[in-house]
Amino acid sequence: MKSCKLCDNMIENGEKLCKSHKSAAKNLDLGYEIWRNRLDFIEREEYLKTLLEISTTGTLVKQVIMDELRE
Amino acid sequence: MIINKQLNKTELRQIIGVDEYSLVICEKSEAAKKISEALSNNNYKTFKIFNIDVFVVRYNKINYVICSAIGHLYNLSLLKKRQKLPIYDYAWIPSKQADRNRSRIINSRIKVIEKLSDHANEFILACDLDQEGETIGYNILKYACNEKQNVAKRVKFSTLMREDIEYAFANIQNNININLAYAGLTRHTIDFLYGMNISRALSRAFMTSSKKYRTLSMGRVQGPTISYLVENELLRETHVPLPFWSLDTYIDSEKNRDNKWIKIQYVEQKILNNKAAEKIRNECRGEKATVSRIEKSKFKIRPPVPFNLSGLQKQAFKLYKLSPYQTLSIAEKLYLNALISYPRTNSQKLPKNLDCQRIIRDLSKLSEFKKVADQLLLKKRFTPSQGKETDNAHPSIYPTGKIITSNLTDVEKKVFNLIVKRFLNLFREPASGHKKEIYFKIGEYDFYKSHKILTDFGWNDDNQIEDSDVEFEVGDELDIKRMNVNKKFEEPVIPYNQMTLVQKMEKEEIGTKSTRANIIRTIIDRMYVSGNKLAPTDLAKVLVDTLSDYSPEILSSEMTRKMEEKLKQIENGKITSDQVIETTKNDLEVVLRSLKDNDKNIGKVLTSASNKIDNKSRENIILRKCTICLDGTLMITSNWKNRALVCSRSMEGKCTVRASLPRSGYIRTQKNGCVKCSWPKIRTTYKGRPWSFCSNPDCHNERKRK
Repeated sequence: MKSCKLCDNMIENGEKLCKSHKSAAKNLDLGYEIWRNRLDFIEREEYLKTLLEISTTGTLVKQVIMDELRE
Repeated sequence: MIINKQLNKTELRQIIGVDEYSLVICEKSEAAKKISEALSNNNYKTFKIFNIDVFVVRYNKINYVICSAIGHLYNLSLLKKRQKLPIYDYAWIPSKQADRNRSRIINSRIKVIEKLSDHANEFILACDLDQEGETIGYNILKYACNEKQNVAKRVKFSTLMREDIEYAFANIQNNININLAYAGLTRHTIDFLYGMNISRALSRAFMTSSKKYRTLSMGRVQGPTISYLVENELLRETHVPLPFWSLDTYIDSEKNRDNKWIKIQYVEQKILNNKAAEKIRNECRGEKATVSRIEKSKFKIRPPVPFNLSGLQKQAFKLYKLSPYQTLSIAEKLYLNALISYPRTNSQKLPKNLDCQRIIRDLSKLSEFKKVADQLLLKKRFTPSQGKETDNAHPSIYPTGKIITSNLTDVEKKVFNLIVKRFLNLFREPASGHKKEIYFKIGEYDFYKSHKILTDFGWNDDNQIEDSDVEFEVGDELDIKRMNVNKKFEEPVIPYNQMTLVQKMEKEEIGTKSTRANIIRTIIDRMYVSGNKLAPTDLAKVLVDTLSDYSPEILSSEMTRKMEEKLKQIENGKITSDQVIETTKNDLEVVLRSLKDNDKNIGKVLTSASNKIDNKSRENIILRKCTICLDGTLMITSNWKNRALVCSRSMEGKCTVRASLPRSGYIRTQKNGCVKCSWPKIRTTYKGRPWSFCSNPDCHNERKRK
């Protein structure tokens, strides 16, 4: 079994992220749709950077964001 | 008189001074004393046999010898230490405690009860009137009194006040509630089977992978409780804040006597589009706010309902930040001092025949409640406010009218006062007032302001906060002083604290009113959570994650809830204990098979999580400058098992300070070193007492407790 790209947790075959990080990434994508609707438009990068500055953004979400911004 | 030897019948008769007697078995020694005081009008004889108090009273021409347990004297235990899973060989044996002193007391109590039961001609159970009390009593009657559980009688009371105890002894029940005891015994057995088997399966998986031992407990109620915490934490950790906008609008008018502007709200509290919010603000610019409608209504706030245990725990947490466990312990002490009725109750109803007037009269002697109590005593009728919840065994918590509180600590007094205040409030008038909603039109948009004003404070006289009222009339035009568009974000779910977790367990119907607080304590002790906000540790997260993959039943509230229903059915005599235990064994086998099949994977993930916790606890704690080299810093280094004091320069070989420390307790170093060897002196606590000693293992300055 391999471990998650962002933590030591085990992952299932063919996956890159563990269950928790996968759930964070899914929320991040769903959130982007809602942010785009509510602001009429926002670039993905700006969205990610804004979320990083908000204190209530979940820690797992922030880890996914950091990884995405690095790439 | 103190007796510490084996007694024959003649000797026992000589000591007790009576030939024939009924043996009364209480749950705690305080209760035994109170019962003796009540039955004998404080004229009882007391003896110490094996250092345990025994009371002798004569009441209504009958001799009563009153003895007590100390909670559970018998516990379930394994018959063989090393057993293959599943473990089904168990028996009730005298409780073994980690604290040897407590084990000795338990054995002494059993010996005393055995001796007294040999010569008793009647047995009366006077333990607390609930499932635990009946279970404690059943085991004592069965094992210490030689199978007297079917012939023993029962006294029932909800307070330790003299009248209640006299009434109970005048109306002795011919049998103990055997079905209630069976339900209690079954609960213990199921919890033992689940706890022992699953915890061992997890610990073994961990040991196989890590070659280390760690207790990984997981129980029938513990599982779902940890899973609530982990699920909640996951929601917080994966929270993506979504934006919304609000219009903060301030108006002013000549009628406003305050200098402050009046804040009004747009009818939609959350505007879900940035441009929509901007559009409203732009279109309102330059407009006036016109009063379009005023709606008035009256409201009443009824007095609160009587306290049940969770109501009391909630209020004590809210006002004094007392954990549910602390509140329960305090309430038990108040009950044993006969100050309040029995606290482990679900009921929100006072007993029908309660002499409320007498209690209020007694409480009026307390200076802080005199005013309210005197007002109430002017009433002709005393009709309390009642809640919905009921309990077959006990009424709600209420003060008995006894007011001697001199032996109470400050915090105990606070809880007592809380119960007294709630009791008095039950008889007071409702608070009433009027609610006003004023609607404004700004351009084509609707805004509003709502006022709630108490005109009669009634029972609610603590909250005399009055909202300033402005008399507007329909058609009034007001100036808009400010209108801001504020961007806000949706908040994540709130983390659990001890009280909200108890409430969640109550809502999900898992555990009992008596066990919930204890389960939370176990979770904290096992390092599944940390901090006041009960943040789950990595170990808890991994455990829940793993079990949800391999044995989701253990984490399911549904299974626990169904089990509670079955226990109720045993209580009602609809099914037998054996049937329930047999089903449990079948369910367990499925779970254990799945854990065994996957023990390599489970062991691996648990080891990794456990290492993370160990690494965290290995972080050094810096104390002060080293007293030997006068240059390095003294630090506490630790792993999950041991702690040591080291100088930062000892790692470079420049200082010799390196010594082991006690495994638990707060550690401080004293400013000056040891007088003989200059090594750092340590200050800690041992069994609650301060202790200071030289850290040098070779120092001859003897380790002394202060």
